[in-house]
Amino acid sequence: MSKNTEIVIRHLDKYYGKKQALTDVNLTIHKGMFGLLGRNGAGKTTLMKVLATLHEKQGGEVSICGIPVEHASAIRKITGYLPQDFSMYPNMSVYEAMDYLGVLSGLTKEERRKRIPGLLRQVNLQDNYRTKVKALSGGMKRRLGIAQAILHNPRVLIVDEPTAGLDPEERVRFRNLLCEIAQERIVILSTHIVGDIEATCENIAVLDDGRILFQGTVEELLHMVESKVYKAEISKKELPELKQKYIVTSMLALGNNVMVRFIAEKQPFAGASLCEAGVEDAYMYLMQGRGEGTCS
Amino acid sequence: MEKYCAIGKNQLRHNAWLHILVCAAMLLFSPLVLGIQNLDQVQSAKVLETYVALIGIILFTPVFLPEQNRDLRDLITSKYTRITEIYCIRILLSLTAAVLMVATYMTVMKSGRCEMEFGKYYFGTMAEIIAFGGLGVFAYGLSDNLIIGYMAPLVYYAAAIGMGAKYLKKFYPFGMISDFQTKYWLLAAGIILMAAGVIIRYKKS
Amino acid sequence: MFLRLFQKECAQVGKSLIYWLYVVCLVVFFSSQMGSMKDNMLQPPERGQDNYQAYGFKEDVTEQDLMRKALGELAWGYYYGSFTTYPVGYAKDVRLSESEQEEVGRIINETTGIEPDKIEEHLAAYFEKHDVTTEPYLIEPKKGLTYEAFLNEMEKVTDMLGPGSSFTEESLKSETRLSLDYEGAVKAYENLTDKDGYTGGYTRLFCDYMGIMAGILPIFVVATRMLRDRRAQMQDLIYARRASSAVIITSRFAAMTVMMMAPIIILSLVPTVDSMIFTKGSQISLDYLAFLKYDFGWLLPTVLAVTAVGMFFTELTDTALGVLVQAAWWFISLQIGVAGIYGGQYGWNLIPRHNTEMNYSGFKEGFTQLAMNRAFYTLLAAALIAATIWIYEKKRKGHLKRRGKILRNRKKPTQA
Repeated sequence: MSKNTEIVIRHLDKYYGKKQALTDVNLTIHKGMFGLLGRNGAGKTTLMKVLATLHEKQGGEVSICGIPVEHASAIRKITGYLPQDFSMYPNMSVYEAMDYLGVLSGLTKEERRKRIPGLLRQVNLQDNYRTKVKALSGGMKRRLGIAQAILHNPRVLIVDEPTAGLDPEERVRFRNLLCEIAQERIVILSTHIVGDIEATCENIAVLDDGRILFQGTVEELLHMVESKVYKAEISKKELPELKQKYIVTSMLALGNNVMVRFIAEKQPFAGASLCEAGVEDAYMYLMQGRGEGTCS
Repeated sequence: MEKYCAIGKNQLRHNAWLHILVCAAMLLFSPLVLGIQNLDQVQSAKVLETYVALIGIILFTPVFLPEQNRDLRDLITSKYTRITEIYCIRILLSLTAAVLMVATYMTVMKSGRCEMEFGKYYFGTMAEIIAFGGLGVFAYGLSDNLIIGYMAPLVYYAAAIGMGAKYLKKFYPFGMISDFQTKYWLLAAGIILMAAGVIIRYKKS
Repeated sequence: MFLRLFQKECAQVGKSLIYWLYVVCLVVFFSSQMGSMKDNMLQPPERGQDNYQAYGFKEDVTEQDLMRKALGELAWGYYYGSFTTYPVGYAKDVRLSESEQEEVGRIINETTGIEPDKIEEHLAAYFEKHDVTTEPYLIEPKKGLTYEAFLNEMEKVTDMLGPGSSFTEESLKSETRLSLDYEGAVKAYENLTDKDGYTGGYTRLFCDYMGIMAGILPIFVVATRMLRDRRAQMQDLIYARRASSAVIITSRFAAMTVMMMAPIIILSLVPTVDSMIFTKGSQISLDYLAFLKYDFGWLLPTVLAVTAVGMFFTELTDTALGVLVQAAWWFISLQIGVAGIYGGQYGWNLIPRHNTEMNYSGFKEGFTQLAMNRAFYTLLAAALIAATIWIYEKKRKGHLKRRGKILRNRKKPTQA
């Protein structure tokens, strides 16, 4: 692999008709896992599709491992992409589907024969060579999706909302798989589930309404809410007032009372105790700071 | 009743309008290429049997298209209203469209001094339309593939042109003049196929 | 990459249900039309046969014959104030305006010497001598009228009547058919055995029948294949891969064409083998490779064009529109083709007709036209495939999409 394993995005603009989907996006992404966080419709998929050459940008510059994104063919050679909604020809077996996509990636028969079994083992589908795609469960299909995306050993893997619809166990397994893959390449992961990012990514960016709201490490994000996260047990009657004043990040009903977790700039009232900040708190703080709704 | 009206209206607004429009255009522009004035009995029958009846394929075949997506089909099937009722309303809607279009077309022909026994020709044409439609609905229901749905009646049509009554016997679709009995057979076959198509689709979903 | 992809595509087509339906339709149609051919192959004519219909029609229809028939038909139409045309195989009644009617009267006078108001008399006198139910109305052309001048006038009539007029030279020729006598039959049979290598005539007949199927059936296979990517939600996975749009589309095109031609080529062996068995022991030297020439020269361009139409419209609209377009085109071609069913008049029809193993001379005469016709459809297919590649490339970069997330969100929610 060449030394340049880096994605550089400068002043990227993207429109759908008159609607601006991405506005002046600037990002630098290095080797390892990179998380792209944002609510639904924030522009995550658009950004990923621009990187995967499935959308053309209107302004700015994007280069992947030193190659401008306009050179679609060269980019496709070094990137793997797993879209949010995808499937494969239902009547093909797992092996046939991989083989077909391998041909489209320009792999020789020899290369395909060598790589496919290894990859299927890596994603724990070694017993499903002959299973038809239509008979796979959601989690298996996702894993097959990852296997097809790294089939040609790309330097960059782009994964759009990979854990949506997976059960908790599958989700953990899937995250681990991505971390494994990210050891030697860039993996960009988009999600609106904060937990996914927290568990896997060191570097993240938060996208909202087509703009980059935050870019940095998870620590830096956490730093924003350091000493600002409190919890308190209050009565249900007090809850509306508290919600109005502060950003509530979670609550738990305890009989007539509620245990709330919220963000405040300084000690709000006597009963509130400071607690350790999480990525979710930081994310909520960031999003509410723009005076808009909550993350789903 | 209100529910059925709503289903029908929805079908008309989101799906059927396009198919009705294509058929209307087919009939409306037909005078550019074929005569609908001063035709004798044989010529009138030919226009109705080999041209007008084709609207049956376009109108009826796509009956299952709105729920082609598997997830959507599951969603609709899970509702209180039975999916077969929805299919039946769509079929009735297509039938109404065909009834009106053929009646209008034949009235125009009649006023253009084409020779024909109106009632007989009307029945014959409608029977054929239902046969074409039935075959389409059946093939679509069986294969879950709209293209196969279109293929079946078109191949049947091609076979009728190419092979003639010798092979198709009572199911020869162009027997208005030569053997009117075929029309009863066609009508019966059309209704049975349509019902079978809907039932098969229902059992599969 | 092209070859590997081509193999994969062939395998995919071969595994699809619709392809086997295609094959079954071909086989059934073939056996219904040509299945019993080996029992009906043409024997040399014998003197004193009841008729020689099986050997075709007279080739040497004179220009005088042609003019007589056309002028009779023209006067008939003028007298009754209505002409019948066949724009797409259906009869169409055309009534001319007063000034056009006058112009036709002038043309009749010009070409026959009969005053327009004397036609009634002429007609009555003619059918006093001839049987109106079996004999056509013929009028002798005016003395000194050249064939060119006649055609010139008929062109004016055709301009007034519109498409499907029976006063074009091709149409007049196809309608003026005279039966063969023994000598004519012998000559026609010799053409079949000597010039056509016997198999040539039967393979041409095969092309005539199979052309009807090749003009429609491939569209179903193609539309299904092209819609499969979207239906299987596999578009993005393929878009993101290295293979260029040109390679993806052309490999699919090539695979589908080859798969579609394969059963046709196999079936075309049947007339060849039948001919071999039938002519065993005779002096006829067979053209053993006629089937290849005809399959590739005659049927392949049709398959190419239909496949390209299917790919183009399906890629453009992501719907089954291609089926509708091709069905309409096929229908019109078939109807138009009826006029030239005996062969020799191939025009620009997608489905050239030649519904006889005879009429070699017609084939030879129309050969240049046929060759141009076939070349045209091959080029058309190439152009449509180029357009399909362009569309595919555009869609691959996020353009021309009807069902993107943005549009989908904008659409009103649908209830069933």
